[in-house]
Amino acid sequence: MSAAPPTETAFERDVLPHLDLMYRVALRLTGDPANAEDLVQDTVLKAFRAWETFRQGTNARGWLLTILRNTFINDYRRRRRAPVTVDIDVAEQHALVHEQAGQDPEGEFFRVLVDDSIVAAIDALPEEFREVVVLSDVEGLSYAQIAETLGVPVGTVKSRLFRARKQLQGTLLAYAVGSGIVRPGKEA
Amino acid sequence: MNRQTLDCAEALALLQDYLKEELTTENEARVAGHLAACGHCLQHAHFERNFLAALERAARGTRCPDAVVSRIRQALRSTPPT
Repeated sequence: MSAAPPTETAFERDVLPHLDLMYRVALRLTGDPANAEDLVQDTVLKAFRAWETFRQGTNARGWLLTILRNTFINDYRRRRRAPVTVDIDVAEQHALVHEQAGQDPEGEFFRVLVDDSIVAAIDALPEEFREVVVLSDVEGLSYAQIAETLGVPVGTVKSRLFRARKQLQGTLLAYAVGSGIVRPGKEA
Repeated sequence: MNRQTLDCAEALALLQDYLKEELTTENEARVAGHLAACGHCLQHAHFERNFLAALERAARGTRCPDAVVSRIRQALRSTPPT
């Protein structure tokens, strides 16, 4: 016999507290508020239909993020506006970003960057970098939780994160230099 | 890595994972020991910490719009359980 039909209250209790997180991740994945709203709604309805497969007592967050990501890949990815492509070699050049920070070796400029510039830099990352940064550094999932959500080894999560962060640091430093927050490091 | 001490390259390679509290107890102690003794790497650690704090700060404030929450609640009530 199948399990009892889901009671909406139990579902709402376990799932709806994660809507903000789901919306933020959806926004970064789709790059567009209208698509993010639809993606969250589709995800919740899929979760509702699959509620029997959710292991009660475990955290719904990872389960929901997996559904959200699969839904994005299957139904939404092609809709994302043309991604900003980034040459990986360029990303690697940022390996020594810290050394280039010149007058600000401790990265104080990160404290005064406007949030919009940081979000824009995240949005400009390639998708496989963007999703690990959002899950780890914005939403605070552990590497193991991210690996489970994405279905990849922890080592892959770590290497993507490392490269994604270096690329982001390079972008943000360039922005900080360009807007006069940081003086370039090459000067005498 | 069986040694108790790390050189700078080893410490820097572990730095982000250290700040994210993703290291084993042994490696965490090794990185902490290196940072306590090395001003250059400590500066690096401040840089990485400020960076990670900025990411956490920047996007966390966004909330799912109320209209979407209402729409979802309404959809749930009109969706029959399977």
